[in-house]
Amino acid sequence: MLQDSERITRPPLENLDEEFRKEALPHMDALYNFALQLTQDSDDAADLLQETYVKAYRFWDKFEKGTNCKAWLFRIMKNSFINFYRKNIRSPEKLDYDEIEEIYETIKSESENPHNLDREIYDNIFDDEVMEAIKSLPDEFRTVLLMCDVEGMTYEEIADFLDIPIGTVRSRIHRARKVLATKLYTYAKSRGYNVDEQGE
Amino acid sequence: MDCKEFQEQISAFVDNQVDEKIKLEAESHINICPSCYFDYKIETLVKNIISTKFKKATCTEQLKSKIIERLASQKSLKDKLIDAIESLYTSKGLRIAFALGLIIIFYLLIFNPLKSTEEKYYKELGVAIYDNCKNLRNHKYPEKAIFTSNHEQIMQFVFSNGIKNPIMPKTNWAVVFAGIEEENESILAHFLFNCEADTIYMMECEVDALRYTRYYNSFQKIHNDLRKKSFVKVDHGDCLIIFRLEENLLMTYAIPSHNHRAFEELIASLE
Repeated sequence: MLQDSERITRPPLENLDEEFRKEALPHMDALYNFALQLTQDSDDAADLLQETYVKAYRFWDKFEKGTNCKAWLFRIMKNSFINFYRKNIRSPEKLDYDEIEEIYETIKSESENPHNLDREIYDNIFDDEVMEAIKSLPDEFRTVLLMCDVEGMTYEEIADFLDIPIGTVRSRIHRARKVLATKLYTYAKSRGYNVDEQGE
Repeated sequence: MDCKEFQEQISAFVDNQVDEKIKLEAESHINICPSCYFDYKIETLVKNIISTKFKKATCTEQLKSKIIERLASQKSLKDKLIDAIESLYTSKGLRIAFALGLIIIFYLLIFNPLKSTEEKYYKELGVAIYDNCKNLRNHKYPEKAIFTSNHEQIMQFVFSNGIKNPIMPKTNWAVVFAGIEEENESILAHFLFNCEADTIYMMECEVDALRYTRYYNSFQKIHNDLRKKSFVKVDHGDCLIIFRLEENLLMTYAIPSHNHRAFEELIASLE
């Protein structure tokens, strides 16, 4: 029998299942990030993260050992989000993709040499502007893009996770990048950096 | 690979998510197509920008430890139970409370003071009357076939389970009694006044058992009539009463007068 003093001094972490500690807890940051992308609000993200972990811990015996724990946690989070936050979900932004294509083609025709554009945009864009541009993406584009470029998930994992065909993952990522390219170009241009001249 | 095919695969190519064959085809395509090469460069650029400049939010240590604490506290019901039992051993106050709780539960189970005494009385009375009925049936109607002539007692029996759960005498068991109400209605009429629409009541008694009641004469008359007829019908307003002789026993059937179907069925079964 444990003495009271022993019970109190025992850190909470040690009470957790060891496998869970090793497998699930390291993904907390990634999941928080994802929660932030889903909810766009830090308080909601914290709630969603907590709910996800509580569920994951409760159903830990359902997790197939050896499979991708991160993807499993992501799936729990997505379901929790759908169940409890759907009512608050933002209506997807209207994106005029034709317009984006048009701008993109203009940039393309104006820039003979992609290497210059590459270097100049990359060096001159602010981190905040990148965040801003990503934030402005419609939900379904942003989620796919961040899973790929930030979380490093494969197309297959994303398709499986979002329950969409792999071709859709491909085209969404491609479109999302095109939109970002035009946005970042516009930001760079609006700051007085003359992309056209640099391109020549 | 043409431009259209390349455009379909471009993101997968940038992300290195294509197989070796497509990869080679795509590489040779961008070598000969400046437009697709531009697209490829831009897409690679955007990917690099996102993966290097995207500020990953980290969740605060405070939130992390809050969640871990929450998880640890929900550890398991089993542990909580063990803790609770352990504290029973260690805490005197809890131990006494636990013992008191047990005593109260046993007390309630055995004595049940919460049950109203009235209800208890009716229940006991009901049981006694019911036992009497059974005895009377089993003893082939001894001389004293009367156990009550008080309709109140009958009603108490009927409602011994509470007003909402009356014990309704069913056609397959008989309440045996003789003796008739002082008022102009039969006890059966009292029964019927509160009965379900489709219930049929039956009374059986030896005519001799009624000898010392003031209704003996009328029963004798009915008895005599029954020598000539198979049954005698008396309309009592709320109920129809049918008298019939069965093996020297005067059977009285009563049914609610509005229940014509039951009445017809009863007549059919008697003829």
